[in-house]
Amino acid sequence: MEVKLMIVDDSLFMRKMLRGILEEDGYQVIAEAADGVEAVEKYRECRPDITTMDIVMPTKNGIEALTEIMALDSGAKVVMCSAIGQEALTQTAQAAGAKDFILKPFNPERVKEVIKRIAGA
Amino acid sequence: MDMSQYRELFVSESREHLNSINELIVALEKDAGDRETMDSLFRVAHSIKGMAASMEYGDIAELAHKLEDLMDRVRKGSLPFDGGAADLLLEGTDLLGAMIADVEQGVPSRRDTSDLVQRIINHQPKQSETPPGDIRKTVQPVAQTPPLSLPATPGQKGEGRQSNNDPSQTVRVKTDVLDRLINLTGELITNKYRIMSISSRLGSGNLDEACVELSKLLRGLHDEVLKVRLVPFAAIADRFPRVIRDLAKKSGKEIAFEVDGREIELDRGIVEELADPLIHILRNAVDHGIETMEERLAAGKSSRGSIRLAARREKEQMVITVEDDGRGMDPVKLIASAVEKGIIKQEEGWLLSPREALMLTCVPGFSTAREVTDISGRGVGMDAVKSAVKALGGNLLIDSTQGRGSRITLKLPLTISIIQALVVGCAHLKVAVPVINIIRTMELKRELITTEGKHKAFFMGEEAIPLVSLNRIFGLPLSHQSGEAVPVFVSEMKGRKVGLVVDRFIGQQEFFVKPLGRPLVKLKGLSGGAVLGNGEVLFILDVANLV
Amino acid sequence: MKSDETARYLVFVQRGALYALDLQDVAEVVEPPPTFPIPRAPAHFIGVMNFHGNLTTVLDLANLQDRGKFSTEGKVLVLDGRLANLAIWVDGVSAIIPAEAVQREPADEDDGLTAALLCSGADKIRLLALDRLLRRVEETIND
Repeated sequence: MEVKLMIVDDSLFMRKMLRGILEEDGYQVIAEAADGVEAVEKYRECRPDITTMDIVMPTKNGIEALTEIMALDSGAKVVMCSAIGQEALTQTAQAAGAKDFILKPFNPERVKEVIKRIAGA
Repeated sequence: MDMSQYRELFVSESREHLNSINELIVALEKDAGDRETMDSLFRVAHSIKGMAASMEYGDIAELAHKLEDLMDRVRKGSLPFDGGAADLLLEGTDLLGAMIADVEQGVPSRRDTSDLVQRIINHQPKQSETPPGDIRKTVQPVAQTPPLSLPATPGQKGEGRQSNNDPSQTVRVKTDVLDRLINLTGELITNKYRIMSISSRLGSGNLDEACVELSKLLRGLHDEVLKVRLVPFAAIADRFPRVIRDLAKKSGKEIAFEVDGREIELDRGIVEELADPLIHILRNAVDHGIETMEERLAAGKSSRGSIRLAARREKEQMVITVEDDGRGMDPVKLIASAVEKGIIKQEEGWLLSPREALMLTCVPGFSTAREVTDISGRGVGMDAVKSAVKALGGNLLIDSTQGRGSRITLKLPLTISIIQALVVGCAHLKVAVPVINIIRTMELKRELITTEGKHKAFFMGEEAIPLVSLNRIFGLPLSHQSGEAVPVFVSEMKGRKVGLVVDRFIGQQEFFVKPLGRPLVKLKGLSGGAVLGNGEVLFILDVANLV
Repeated sequence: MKSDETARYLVFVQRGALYALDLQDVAEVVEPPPTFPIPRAPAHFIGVMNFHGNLTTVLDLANLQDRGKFSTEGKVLVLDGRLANLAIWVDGVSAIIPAEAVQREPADEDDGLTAALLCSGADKIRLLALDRLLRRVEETIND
């Protein structure tokens, strides 16, 4: 079965890059969102299998969006994207229900590995 | 992984961020405690860092990282946002801009960032501003601030800078594709006139109908193509707060700067050409318009001057104004100065209306500056501003009240490539005059023409308008028509209204303006060429630079 | 590239003498096209032509050289658009020759527009210095 993904990041550059990495492995990116508010809305609409979630974003940050998505769907699989130095935030995110995290700048192999693991879980 | 495919996106997105930094810093200087602005600045630096790191541009990532840290200290309250922090941020922005330009051009970056990086790391708030007892207070918010403190405004989607567009429904298009689109549309319009001219010869009803339909479709296409070419005025206006800030700082004046109509959309071809003229006008306003604080207080004004830049759309025109509440200009002094500089004769000076006197500032060789200052002494004068505006097919007006301030108004067409123009005939020659440059057209009755020596004129209301023959300007034989009236169009040359006499008016239509290229581009008084429906080529007149 | 061995020259006739242009500087050779008057242009500008949508100035080479007026029988050499929007009206086109068929020699008498002499047997062909021609044409504008 095809795994459907949503990418949440306020940077178009980051979204396109992540999409490029994931599509290489045959994943289907069905939605992109540029901030937390949009992420929650799109999640409600398209129910992706896996969501990658940036943390620092305007209007509603990634952790808030994660919390709302988890409230919406307790089985949601959300992977946080964080930068070095945000370790404290990733802990908060894991407590809020994030399944894993990938570090920016993206290492394509690590990204694929994490998503593969989550998809198989 | 091949990252080169993301390079263009990296450059354009970083640029957008950098452009917003200037604006944010100026906003934060106005309102130092504004949480949202601080967060935005932090986010911008953070985003650039992330992208640069992905692209493996280590220097850019490091510098952006340091700027991010700086902003993090500011938003967590451990560092006040003072002039020092703002200057470091601006300096960093400029350096990042240069490095990103290197990336764009594919030049390996050899810019030294280490000095700036060190200074950012070492940056400490000025001790004098925060007595020791207060430091604890300013540090304390760290504990109060939860680890993640980004503004949450649920339900207010669309307020965020990039969040109002569904990314899956927008695409980025290269600007040269947009240029080609407008060129193709222009060629189609030219060809429409060609088909229409054949159709009128054939007298076929069906073909006529098809032509009417074609016209409608082309108008639709033209409108749509223009729409994609539109960019918000903010694309250039957002640079100006920074410019004003720097200029004001240099001249020791306090200035409140406001921009209205940032969202107004303009053709990108015009926006690009407007930046320099506007910067010059703003420079003049800071340097010559706004008085020193002492002068202002003595005149009973508030010590802080104000400059307002506004863009709005008026029918088929764009109107951009720059207003200041400074000292204004004195028409009598302007005339005296122009006479002294030999730009006009004393007798001519007497004839000038106050408004015409203001336009003297746009005559080459004229400058209202009593002394050349570092600020507006360099670069172009108002004459260059005026010719830049004219080259876009626009117009420049000046209003001023002594002691109250000045207002410069730019009227511009919505697009430069396709224009409405009136075709006039002079002997065997046909030329097109952009409608935007025409104040009035008329069939002037001969008895209304007054003659004084060699000079002819007529009255438009109270105003005496000199008459000039376009045939004479072109060195063509004068036609000696015996009719009761002569065709005249009134336009502006060197800030004065002039009636241009032609042999005949042929008609008005839209033209796709073609560049003249080498060597003809050097010929004065022409701004481009166009092709008529019958294949005839004619030239577009640059009235302001005819003589 | 002038040193390129595959370079070729377009040889044309002008007032009985032979001239040449680097073939790659010429976009097309056309029959005299309709031209339209240019206001206030010097007399050696015959007018402007519509060359595939590009407005191209047509230069009367004979007039520029003070050797009369263009011949209606002539040919028009449209220059590569990257150089200029210019076409040169000449008396006639004679041949296209490979660079190795001629001996390149410095110009003997300088009329200011000759880049080199191309010698082929007894024939001496003047290679037109386009850069100088363009500059001279530009200098005459707005006089």
